[in-house]
Amino acid sequence: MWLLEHEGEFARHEAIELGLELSGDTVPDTLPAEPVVTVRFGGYGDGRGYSVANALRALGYQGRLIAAGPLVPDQARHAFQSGFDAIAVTDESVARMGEAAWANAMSLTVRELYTPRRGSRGPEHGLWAARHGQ
Amino acid sequence: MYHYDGYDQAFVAARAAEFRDQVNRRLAGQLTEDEFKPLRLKNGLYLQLHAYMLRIAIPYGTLSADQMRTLGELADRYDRGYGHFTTRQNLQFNWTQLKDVPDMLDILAEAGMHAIQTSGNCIRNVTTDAYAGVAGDELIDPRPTCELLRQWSSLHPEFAFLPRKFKIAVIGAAEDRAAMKFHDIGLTAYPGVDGGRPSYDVWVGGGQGRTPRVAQLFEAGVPFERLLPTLDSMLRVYNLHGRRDNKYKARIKILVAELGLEEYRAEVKADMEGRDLSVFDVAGAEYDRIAAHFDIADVPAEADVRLEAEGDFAAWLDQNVTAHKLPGYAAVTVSFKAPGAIPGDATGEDMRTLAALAERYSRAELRVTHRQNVVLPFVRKADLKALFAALVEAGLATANIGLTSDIIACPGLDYCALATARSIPIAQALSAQISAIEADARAKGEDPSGPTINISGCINACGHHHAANIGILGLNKAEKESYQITLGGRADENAAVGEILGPGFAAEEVPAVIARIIATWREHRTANESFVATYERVGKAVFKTAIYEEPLHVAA
Amino acid sequence: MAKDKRLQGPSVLTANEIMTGAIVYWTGDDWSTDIAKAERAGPDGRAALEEIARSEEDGNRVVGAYLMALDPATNLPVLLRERHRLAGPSIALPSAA
Repeated sequence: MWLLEHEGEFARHEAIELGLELSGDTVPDTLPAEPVVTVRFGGYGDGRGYSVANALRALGYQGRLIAAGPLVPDQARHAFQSGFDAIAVTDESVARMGEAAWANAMSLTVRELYTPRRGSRGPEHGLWAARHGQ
Repeated sequence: MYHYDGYDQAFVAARAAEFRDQVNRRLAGQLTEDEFKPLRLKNGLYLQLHAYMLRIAIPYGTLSADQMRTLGELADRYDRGYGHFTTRQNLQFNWTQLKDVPDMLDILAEAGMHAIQTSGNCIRNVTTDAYAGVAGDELIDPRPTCELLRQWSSLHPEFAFLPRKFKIAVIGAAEDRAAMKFHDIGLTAYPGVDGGRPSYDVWVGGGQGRTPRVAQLFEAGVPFERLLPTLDSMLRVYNLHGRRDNKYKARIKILVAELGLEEYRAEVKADMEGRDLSVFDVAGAEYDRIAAHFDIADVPAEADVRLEAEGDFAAWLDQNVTAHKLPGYAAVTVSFKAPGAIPGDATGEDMRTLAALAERYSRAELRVTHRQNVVLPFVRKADLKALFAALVEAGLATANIGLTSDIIACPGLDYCALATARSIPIAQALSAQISAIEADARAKGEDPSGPTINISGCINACGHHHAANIGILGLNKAEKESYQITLGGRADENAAVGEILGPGFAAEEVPAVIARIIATWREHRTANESFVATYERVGKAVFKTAIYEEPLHVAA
Repeated sequence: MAKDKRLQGPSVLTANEIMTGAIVYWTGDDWSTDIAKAERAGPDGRAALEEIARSEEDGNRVVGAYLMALDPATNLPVLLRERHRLAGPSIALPSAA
C-alpha cells in the first residue's frame, strides 16, 4: 500500500495506520475521537467522500483524514482540497496508473482555484484572495 | 463584457495542460476508458454516434468578436467547417479527433475560452438571458453573478462527482428568457436593499428529461452575502443524498420530490448552521470587480432614430430587433433558422462574418441564445439598415426570431449516441412549411406569430420539447422513428410542462399534424390570443379530436 | 424481437478508433473503416469476436467495441441506431451546402 501525502510525499509502506474506517457515503452523526480516520470511497464516480471530508472538517475534526478506494491520480486534488491529508493507493493502481502519475498528481493538475474550501489541505491559496490582496 | 486577467488566463492554460496529460496517460494505457470517460466529459469531450464531439463553453452565452473568430478557425481547421450552437448557449464541434483536442484547448485558452464542465456529473456552464445587460425591462444585469458562479464552480473539488449533472441559470428581469425554472437551481437577481450587490430569489428542482419538473421557490430575498454559502450547502446536501442507484432518478428534482421541499430546505439549513463561512467574505469584492467589466456607462449616448422601413427590412425590424436599455441602440438577433436550415448550425464563414459585424456594429460583443441564435447586443439604431444589408449579403437575414419557424432542435440521431430518432430532418421540413405560411401572413398584413416548436431526439430533452407550446419527441418504436407530440408547455416565467397529446406519428406525418394543430388554434383563438392561452382555455380534447378523428392521408 | 433477430443473423465487430474517433470494423486481423471488409460471425463465432473486442480495448487501439447484428435479408444493421451510425448523417452538412 502507498500513501500520497498532501505535501507531495509519495511512498510505499509495509503497514499503514488507517485508524477508524468510515464509509464514504455518510457523514457520521458524532465527531470521531480517533486521531486517524479513513474514508472509503464506494466508487471512482461516487463523490460523496469529498463532502464527508468537508463536513468532518466543518464539524471540527482536527485529526488525520485518509481517502481510500478506487480513485485515480486526477482526484488527488479533489481529496486534498476537500480536507483529506493523504490518499491510500493500492499496489495494483500504482502499477497500472504509473508511479509517476501518482507522485506528480499535484503538479500535473490545476492546483490554484478561485476560492478554497474551508478545511482544504491545499495547496491553493485562492485567486479571489490573491486579486484582492489577501 | 468580462475579459480575462492573468489569473484567469493561467487557470485555463493549466486546465488545457492537465487535459493533455490525461490524454497521454489514456493513450499509454494508464487510464482505462472507464476511468478516462468522466475526465474527458468534464472537459466537454464526448464520443458520439460517428465521432468525438467537443463542446466548448460560452459562459452565459457571452463572447467577444475575437472569440467568435477563434471558433470559426477551429471549425475550419479541426472540424468540417461548421459548429452547432446548443440550447445551453454553448458551441459543439461534431467531428473532432482526440489527438487534436489538446491543441484545440490551447488555442481556446489563448482566446480566453475553455471546455470546462460542459459535460459530466458536475456544475455545468451557467446560462442566462441572451439579452442580459441590454434588455429594456431588466432589473439588474445577471452576468456578474454568472461570472462569479463560473469562477466558483470551475474545477470545484467537492462537487466534481455529483450524482448527476447540475445546471444553474440566472436571470435579472421579470420576463424569463432563459427557461430559468427548468434548471436544477434557478436564480432571479434584482437590486439589493442598499441598491448595491443583488439579492436573489432561489429556485430549486426544475429540469426536463424523463421527469420534467418546474422549479419550486427555495428561498426569496437571499442577500448577496448568503448566495454562495446557500448554493454550497444546497449542492452538498444533493451530493450526499441525491440518488446514485438509478441515473434517471439522480437529478436534484427527484431528491427534492422524494424528501419534500420542506425537508430539503431543513437539511440545507442544518448544513449551513455553524459553518465558518469566512472563505466567502472576499466574494463581495470579487463581485464588484467582475461587475465593473459589465458596466456600460462608457457607451456613448446616441440620438434616438425613427426608422422608415418597408418590405424585408421592415419584417426584419419587427422580428429580429429588440428594445434596448440605452436610447439610440437596439439588440439584433441573427437567426440560424432559415427555411430548411439545421437549427443552430453555423459555418466557420458565418462565425467570421458575425465576428466582423460585431466589431463594426456591436462593440465587438455577441451572445448565443438558448434558442440557438446569435445576438449582436449593441447596435446603434442608425446602423440598423447597413447591418441588415450586410446580413442579407451573408445570407443571415432570416426574419423569424420568436416565430414558429424559429424551431429549437437537438442534433438527434444524425449525430447523437443517445438519440432514439432524428430531430433535424423534422425541423427542416417544418421550418420550410411554416416559413411559407408566415411569409404569406405577413404579405396579407396579418400577424405571423404562433406557437413555439421544440424538437428532442430522445427523452433526455436537450431540444426542450417539454417547454414548448408544441413539443416533438422522437422515439424508437420497434426500430422505427415515432414522434410524440406535447402541447401547452412554456419556458417563460409561467413555466409549464407540455401534455402528451396521444399516440405518436411517423416522420412523414409530423408536418400534417403540426399544420392541424396550428389550424385548430387559429379556429378557436379569440383576437390576438396566444397559442398557450387558447390551449389552456379550450383544453386538450379539442386538439385531440382535431388530430386523431380524421385520417392524415400522408404517404409514408 | 430485435434480440431474436440478432441471435439468428450474422454479426460484425465495430468500435471507434481511439485517436480519431473513426468508426471501424474488425476484418479478422485488423480494423478497417470499410464494413465490406468486416469479418462476419454466425452465432458460434460471436464469443470469439467478443474476446477480440476486450483485448483490442485493453490494447488501447479502439474504444466502445461491440457486436453489431445484421439482418440476413437486407445485410443492413438490425437496429435503427446502427443503421444511422453506418449511413452517417442523413442531412446535407452545412459546410457542403
